[in-house]
Amino acid sequence: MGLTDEELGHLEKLAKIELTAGAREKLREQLERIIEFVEQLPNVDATAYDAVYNGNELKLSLRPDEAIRCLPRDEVLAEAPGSIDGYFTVPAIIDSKDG
Amino acid sequence: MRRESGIDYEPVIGLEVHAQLSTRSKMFCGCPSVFGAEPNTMVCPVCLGLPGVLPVVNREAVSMAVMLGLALRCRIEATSMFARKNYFYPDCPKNYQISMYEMPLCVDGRVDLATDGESRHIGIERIHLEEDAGKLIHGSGDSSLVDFNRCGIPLVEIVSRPDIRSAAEAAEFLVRLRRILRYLGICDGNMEEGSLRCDVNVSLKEAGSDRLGTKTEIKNLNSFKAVETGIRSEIDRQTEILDKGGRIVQVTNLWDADGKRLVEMRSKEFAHDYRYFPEPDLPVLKIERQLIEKIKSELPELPFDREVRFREEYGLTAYESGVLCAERGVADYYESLVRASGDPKAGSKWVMREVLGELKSAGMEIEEFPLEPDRLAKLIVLVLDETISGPAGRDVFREMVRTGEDAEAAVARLGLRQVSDKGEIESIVDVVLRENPREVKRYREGKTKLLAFFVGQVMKLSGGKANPKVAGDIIRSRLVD
Amino acid sequence: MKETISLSIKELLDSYRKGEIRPLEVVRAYRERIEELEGRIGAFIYVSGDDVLKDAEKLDTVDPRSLPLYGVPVAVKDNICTRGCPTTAGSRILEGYRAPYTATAVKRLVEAGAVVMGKTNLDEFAMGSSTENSAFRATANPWNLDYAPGGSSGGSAAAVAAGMAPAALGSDTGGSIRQPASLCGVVGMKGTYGSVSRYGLIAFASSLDQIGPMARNVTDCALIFDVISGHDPNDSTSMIGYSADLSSSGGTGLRGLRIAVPRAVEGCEMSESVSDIFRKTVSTVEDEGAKVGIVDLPGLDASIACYYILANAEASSNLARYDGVRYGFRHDSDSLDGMYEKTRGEGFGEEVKRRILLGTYVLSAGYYDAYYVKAKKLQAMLREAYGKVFHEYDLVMMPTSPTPAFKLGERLEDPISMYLSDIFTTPANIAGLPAISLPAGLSQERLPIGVQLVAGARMESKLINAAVGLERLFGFREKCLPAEGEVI
Repeated sequence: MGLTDEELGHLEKLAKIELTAGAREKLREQLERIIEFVEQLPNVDATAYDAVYNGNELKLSLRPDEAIRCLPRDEVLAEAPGSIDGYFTVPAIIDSKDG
Repeated sequence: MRRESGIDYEPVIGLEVHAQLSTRSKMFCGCPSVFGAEPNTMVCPVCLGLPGVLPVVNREAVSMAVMLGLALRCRIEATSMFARKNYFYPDCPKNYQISMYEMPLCVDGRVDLATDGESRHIGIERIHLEEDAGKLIHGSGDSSLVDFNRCGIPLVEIVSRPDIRSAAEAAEFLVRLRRILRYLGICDGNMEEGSLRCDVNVSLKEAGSDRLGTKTEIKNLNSFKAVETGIRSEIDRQTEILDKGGRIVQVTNLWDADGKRLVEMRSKEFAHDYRYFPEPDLPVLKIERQLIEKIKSELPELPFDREVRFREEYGLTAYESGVLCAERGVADYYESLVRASGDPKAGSKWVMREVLGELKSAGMEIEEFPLEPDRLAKLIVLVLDETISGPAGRDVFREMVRTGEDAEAAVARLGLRQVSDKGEIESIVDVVLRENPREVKRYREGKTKLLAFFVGQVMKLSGGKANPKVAGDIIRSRLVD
Repeated sequence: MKETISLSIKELLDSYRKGEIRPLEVVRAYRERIEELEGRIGAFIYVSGDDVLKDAEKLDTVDPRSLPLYGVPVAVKDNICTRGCPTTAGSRILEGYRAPYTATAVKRLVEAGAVVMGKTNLDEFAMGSSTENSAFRATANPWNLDYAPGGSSGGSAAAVAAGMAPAALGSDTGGSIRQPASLCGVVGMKGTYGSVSRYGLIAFASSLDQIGPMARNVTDCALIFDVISGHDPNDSTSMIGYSADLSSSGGTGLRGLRIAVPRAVEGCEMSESVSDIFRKTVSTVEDEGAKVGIVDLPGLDASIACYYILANAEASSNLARYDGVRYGFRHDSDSLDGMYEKTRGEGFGEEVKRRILLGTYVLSAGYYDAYYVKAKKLQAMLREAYGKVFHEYDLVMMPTSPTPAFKLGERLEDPISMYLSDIFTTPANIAGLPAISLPAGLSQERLPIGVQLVAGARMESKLINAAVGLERLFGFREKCLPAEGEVI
């Protein structure tokens, strides 16, 4: 099963990664071969599938509802590539949120 | 819904409601869950999505969700699973939201409505837990601003079955759902502040047919009114299209609160592919039978049941019990009042008129109301046994609220003790009748409405203290002669 | 007295307790070693500054007996968060990033008296088997500087092999501790999934990742593992009620142990020296009185495909957070999407982008069932199969890597050939089982070759017991190291 250029473009949009024109074709080929490689998964009739979520029989432990630590704001913003007046900044968003 | 085409269309409406749970800390970390703090002061590495962090589930949020599931008569699943919903957006720091997908916490419930005396219910498909996103604000010029304080606050998502058949029904569903949330004490249900949010799916089908139409989505409805109006607009819009022989396109419409209309969202290049998969950082959530039983036993009386009981136990009308049960605090207040005063009907009048009126004008919640039921009960008894008149009672009420004094003290201070002593009133009546011979004559000639005038004069002369009923009786008997 | 930097951790602790030596001297000795060799090996992304001398001095006022890792220098793989110095994950997208918190595993080390010497090089985001995918530099194998140290914990392995630290932390998702340990002639182990907290480990594949120790001998590894393992309330996938006490394991030898060798090993392509050494190992342990049996592990051959689907699916989601909004590299743009796409396009290296796109593909609509769900089912089958094996056997034994170290640059053009080096290591990650690699011998070219032991869930003590016995049999350090005791 191949990977078309269009499909690669779709993946780029989903993953929010822009590939340079030069790298695209090579990457597409490599991905195609890797997909071929992983496609060789044998069919397994495992019905005990739900036991595998996390596969380790770990028990989810819950945390008591106590308000504790917070980071001081200067540490929160210390690594911010852009910030102003206590907010993080990003390029202006025109449309409203979906999803 | 009949139009020129002659075809009847039936709306098919489903609601997706998000409610913020009023826990002390966030869903997956220990940050305080508060509203209105300075931006980015209520965040930690976990809710900020820093490299290397991991979620830890809030026990209370799980209990609250189970409580809600029980109140909505759902089946609580013994095993449920958190899942990642993957999408990129600045208010979503990990660029995935931890939610639930294939295995939600609660399924198959219902909300009872009572529209027009005919009882109906709306199915609840599922309830699950997830985390809220941060807040995106439009900054000056070419940047937007992000505040992560809200990010990670626990949400329950409640998905109804598409059983709703009108805009009014949708609003009622929402009102009842909100009431349940507030009764349980798990959410304050404030649509304007965003602790309760509602998205709607609307489609039309031909009456009598089973074939469903294409559904559209409405988002950004920020009040009950908006929900009703928005749905009505969408129904109208779709009807118009179908009437003209057109096709409904699957779109998302945003409600514009200022213009009070629907605006179509700029269409995306492709539909979202959220690539849901089980959250690997959290083992499955197991709810034990014991926990469900415990929470069940601690459930407060639910609003619908309480309304029914009020009608039966206190002889109240549907309207009265509806008003008294709208807020749990008010219903609690009412019942304490009845216990202390012994008169459900009087209690109902006093709460509905005076107490609720006072709360409304002061912009107060019942929890802040300074006049406790015990003390109000004493006032009601004074009116019932005619120690003071009804109007005097209302004055005393206001004084009690204002000064905090007891009924007896206020009555004494204002000298409002009603005079019911026949002898005393008789003397005053004699004076009034003597000083108003013309009116006496006209009354004896048939103008019996002047009784009110005489009673008024007696009230004036007695400084408002005469018992108007007794005065009326005495005047009547005097003038019969 | 042996040279300071040749002391094992056990010996070091002994010397401290006898008052023969002080932490400051030890830390200085290791710093000198780093200074001497780092230019040629490139094991570190960041070497701790003079603060580390102050930390060592502070220990003078503490009783050596009160801390299990008193004055022990450790190196930390740079995908593990350490407050106070940068954590880059070997990526340009986190270049210079300083975490405001420290990973639990490191916190425990420091509280136990250890001194952090620096952050070691790795394949970017732990994705790779040679450390060549680091955005900053390649690390050389101390045994031969033209060769790769393996990966992704190549920096940690090289640091230990070259005597720049007696121990290091690595992370293992598909073999990233064991494979470089094998290629560099040191010991590396990974515990049962959930035995060591992942809080502060920059996630690659959440359901497979584990932090683990690397050291020059098994007992030193066990000492580190004891300190870092155990439940952490900050990590919901860390085991409750788990505690290790491995440092006292190791006296019982190999007699009577039942050891399984997967039949599939024979059919695998591997270097002659690897199969030679492995075959010799099998007969040696049989001579010692262990019972060796060949077992069929169904699904073993498909485990690499299974691994690459699951690991990269999770990775595609875990790496979504690197978007230039709150930290790290940002490529400014007029549009939001432009910022995301260019930031990630430039900030991530080729291998990382390949894996994110592959992971996105297997999770996307229409493919989820065919790939992800199928891989999960295979995982269930493999776990079950392994579980059955451990009913009849104490341990599974196989080579760690199909080849010794390969030349730098040799495998960069063909990702799949790189993936195949994980063929013996991924099963333990998929099944969540504890595993250890220890050096068994040298190839013709004098490159180390390791042998791997896998035990049942929570059976680290059995693992360490057997490893200590095997280590004695191999006598690697006595037979294979140059006379001076250090490789380079």
